[in-house]
Amino acid sequence: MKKIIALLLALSMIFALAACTSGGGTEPATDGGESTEGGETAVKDTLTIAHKQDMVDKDPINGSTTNATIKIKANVYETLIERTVPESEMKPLLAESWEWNDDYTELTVHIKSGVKTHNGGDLTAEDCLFSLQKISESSNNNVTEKMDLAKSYAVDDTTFVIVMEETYMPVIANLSYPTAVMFDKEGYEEANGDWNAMDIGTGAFQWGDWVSGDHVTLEKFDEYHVAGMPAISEVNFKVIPEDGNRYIEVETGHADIAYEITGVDIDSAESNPDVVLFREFTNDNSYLSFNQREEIFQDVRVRKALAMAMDLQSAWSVCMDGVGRPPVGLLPDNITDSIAKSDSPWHVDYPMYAYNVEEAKKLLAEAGYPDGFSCRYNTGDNSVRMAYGEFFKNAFEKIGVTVELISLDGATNNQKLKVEHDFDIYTWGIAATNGDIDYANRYFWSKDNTNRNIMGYSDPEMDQLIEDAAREGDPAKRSELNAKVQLKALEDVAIIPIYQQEDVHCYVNGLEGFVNGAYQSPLLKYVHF
Amino acid sequence: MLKFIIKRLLWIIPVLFGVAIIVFTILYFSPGDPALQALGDNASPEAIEAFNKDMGLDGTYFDRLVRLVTGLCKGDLGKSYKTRTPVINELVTKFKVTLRISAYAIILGIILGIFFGIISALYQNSIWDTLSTGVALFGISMPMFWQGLMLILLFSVILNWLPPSGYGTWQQMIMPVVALGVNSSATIMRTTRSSMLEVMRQDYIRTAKAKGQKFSTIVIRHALHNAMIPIITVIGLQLSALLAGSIVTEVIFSISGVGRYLVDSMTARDYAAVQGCVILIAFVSAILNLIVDIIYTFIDPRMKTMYESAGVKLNPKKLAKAAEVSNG
Amino acid sequence: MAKKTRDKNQHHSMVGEVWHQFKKNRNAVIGLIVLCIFIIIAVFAPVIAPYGYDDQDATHTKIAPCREYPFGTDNLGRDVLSRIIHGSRYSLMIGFLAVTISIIAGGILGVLAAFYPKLDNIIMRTMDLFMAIPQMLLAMCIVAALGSSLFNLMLAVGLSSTPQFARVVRASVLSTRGQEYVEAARAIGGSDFNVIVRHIIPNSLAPLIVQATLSMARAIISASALSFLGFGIQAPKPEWGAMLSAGRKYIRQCWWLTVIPGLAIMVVVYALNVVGDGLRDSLDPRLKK
Repeated sequence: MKKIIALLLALSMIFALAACTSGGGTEPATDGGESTEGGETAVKDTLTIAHKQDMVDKDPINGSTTNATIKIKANVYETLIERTVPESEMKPLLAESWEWNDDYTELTVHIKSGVKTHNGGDLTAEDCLFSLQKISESSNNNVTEKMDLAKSYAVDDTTFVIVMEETYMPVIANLSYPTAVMFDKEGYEEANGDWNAMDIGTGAFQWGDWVSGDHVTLEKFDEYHVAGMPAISEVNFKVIPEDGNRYIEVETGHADIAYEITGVDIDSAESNPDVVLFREFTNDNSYLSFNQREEIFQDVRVRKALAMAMDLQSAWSVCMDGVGRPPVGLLPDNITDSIAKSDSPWHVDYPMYAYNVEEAKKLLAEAGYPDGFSCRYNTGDNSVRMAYGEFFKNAFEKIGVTVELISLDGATNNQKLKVEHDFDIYTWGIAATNGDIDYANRYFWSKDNTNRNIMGYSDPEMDQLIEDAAREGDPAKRSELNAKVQLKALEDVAIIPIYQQEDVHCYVNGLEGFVNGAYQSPLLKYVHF
Repeated sequence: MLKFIIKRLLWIIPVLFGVAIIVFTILYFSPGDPALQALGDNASPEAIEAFNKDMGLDGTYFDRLVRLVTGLCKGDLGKSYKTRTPVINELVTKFKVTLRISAYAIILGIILGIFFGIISALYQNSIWDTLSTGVALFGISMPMFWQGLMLILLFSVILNWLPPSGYGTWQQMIMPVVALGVNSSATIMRTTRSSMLEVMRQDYIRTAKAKGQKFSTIVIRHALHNAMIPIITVIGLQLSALLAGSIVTEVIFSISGVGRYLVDSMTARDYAAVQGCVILIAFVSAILNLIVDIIYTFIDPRMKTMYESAGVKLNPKKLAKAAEVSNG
Repeated sequence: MAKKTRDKNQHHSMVGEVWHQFKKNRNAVIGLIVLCIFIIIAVFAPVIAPYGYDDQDATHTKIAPCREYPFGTDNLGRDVLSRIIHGSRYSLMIGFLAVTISIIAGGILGVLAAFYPKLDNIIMRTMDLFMAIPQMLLAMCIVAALGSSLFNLMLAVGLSSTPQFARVVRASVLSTRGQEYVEAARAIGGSDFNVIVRHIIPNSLAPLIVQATLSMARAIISASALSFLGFGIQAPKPEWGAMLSAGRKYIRQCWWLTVIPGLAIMVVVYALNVVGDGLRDSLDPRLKK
């Protein structure tokens, strides 16, 4: 009897021991918010954020540029120029001002003096040139495209000149790109470029600890170059990949902000007086397109027919749960030079080929496929795009096109689409990621080597338009060229935008100053309670 | 006895290498390019090449296998493609989380399982028996992930009592532990019941009853003691099942343990991490099985003599497992 | 020849005996009936289901269970009842074929191991290695390697439970092998293959059938778990695990999208488990009451 009890005890002790030794390091996920409830004197200065995915790495230039990663990195590292959303204006950040020479071949940048880096250094013009050099050697080197860094030089501690190989207007936008960050040269060399071992950025926050898959913390940088910022002393990004759970975290007071809440939570958030909903259209369109390396999809009638089989309004209402909206044009209207803007002189309504099943069938027959055909459709593993896939599968079948849906995980899908080109129909996103429309134009550039032109669209006239637009210094002429690119892409049905993405975040009532930054990264330096 | 333990410990080594080779081989043939996934879409060919070299992704199948095995000898599980840091570092932190939840779950499972098992064996065919066997059967028939979702639906969405995700506070622990533990307790209950039923029919129980011993003494000292072997076996099996079951549970409750790490790594094609997880889980299962085997000797001294005379040849687990297959 | 007919007779009477025992177990009989109903539903799914599994209706989305849609509709306006009915085909087929795969693979390995002592050690140690990896993990790795599709899912689930079958088959063959009639068959010059097929397999079937029934239950759960994690079947096929996974994000508004597919899985698995239990009890004389 005793023996058995002793044994059971021993057994449970083993596990209890395991449990205890392992549980040592865990502390309850406090949000420190309790103090505000009583007759408080201290203002809350910690922030807990329910974050969708973990950061991939700490490396700002060579590392990952996933949305979730940039949302964190953008608070630690800073660029010379800051892009505001939704206005898409280029605003000084580390650079105080910048100016072109007459033929747009040299860009003179004046940086703010007295900018400190997290490792205690001063940010100088030389540091900036060094940073640009490192970026050009990284895998994200499209940021420094057309810069001739060997010829670029520092004038004094706060002034440097970027010499261009040729006129290339998107360079300003590129300097606002989240991988175009400035850092301390000395710190970089001391740590031998190991980003896990250094903290050499200039952002309002510096690295705290990072338990991968669980949380990332950031701490206030006391010597931040803007006085009085940040108001928050510690930020904790809790990784909560389950979509529904992030909103519940805020609702139950376990987090102050929830990033990327889903459409199904919008209603609950709206009706909850303790929660504030933040919504903003991004400059992303998701689109559907075809492998135009294949003969069947080279026929514009086939592309047009499929476009006409797609009821974008119904698809949106069924698949998006109220997030985003049906597309308003080839590109969202919040991009400079987008012809989706209603006041644009080149404005056309979208969709250009409206939903019309009969017309679609006719076109398909004209193209030589009266009985339709069958093909594959790679949706990826994003649940919204999978839902769209199911919707369009149904729609295409109405005009006789049978579709096999393939939802591969991210890696395999990437490989199939971008490397092997082994697909028929696919869904992807198009955006002016750096804020300049040129970035989006390059999706239709046949010489593209950045895997943006997945569909294999190739048209020499289009190539010429895109290149001319990038080289055009005069804003009015540039707008016209950009408009021509968009019109041509629409007429050719190069892609079929299917919905415009929207950022939906929510935060607790009482939190102020929540603003979205470029690249869909909220800027926490402005946040306070 | 010591010799037995050492022998068993040594046996773990070839098992680990075997597991490593199996997993490596399976993953070697998997599609998807880790470099592209890790570096992003815009990676240049040079960057990809450098990455592959750095991560040991270059070379033939055998080159890489040899590298893996030599690495394992040094206790090196390789570097995660995603974070480019040693896999072992992350695994240790995450494993603590998984182990803690599994430990609570198995404790819950043991307590519930043995208690209800005894009850329904003692009062066979009573309402309690029917009820608990019925519930247990539901317990093993319920998919663990569904059970987790139903808990969230009830306690977080409808009642708003418990947080739906995360790890740390006791409130956050309740649902994952229950979701994991219910399944094990059902299996343990069924084994306890059938094992107890069989023992209770033996002559010595009748003798003890005839001698007029107290009922509780009979149940605990004689019956449970003798019924323990299959129960311990099932508990041992449940431990490895729990480690695997933590995969779905951790995904549902957003817990950053080995299970979710594994799923995330799998989708990110971070095969080094996947390999590490599988090897670690196999290792821990092996150790747990060893512990279970050692516990046998305490329960049943006959086993001890068996180890001492026959060494490893006679594996009591297999005997017990054979009994379990026919017993339930 | 005479021997063969005797074997057959023996076999027949054994089936009768088992059925006789099985009938006494009320739960098991109910389980069997439920199972049969599901099989009928699966076979006649297109006839029974009020709608096709992919019939979308953008004007009737997310309708709660009502008279017209007893199980409600999903986010794409598809009738959940029809999807569940069509889905029974996938779940049962996966369970059945996965187990068939593991019976064939495990059976061959187990018989070889039992019959040829030279192979025994190699085969069984390799099986031990595979068993050191939890089934679910092994299945995940296999699906990752093969890519996700219906067939690969079955293959992964089937292969990952092969070692268990190899063990059961080996053990039961070993115990049959020593029997007199097998010795006799060998003595009169039956080839190994002949002896295995004619005598050993039929006589080792009992534990295999029990194991198969219970494994089928487990296979259905594993397959749905894999689909749930996104390693399974491609949309829009209405596999129950995949339906659950897709409905999960609507758990706050549309409870039926998560509750109903889960219930369906549970009922089938429950039925299989009771039938398995019943079979085991009636095959195992020790537990007869």
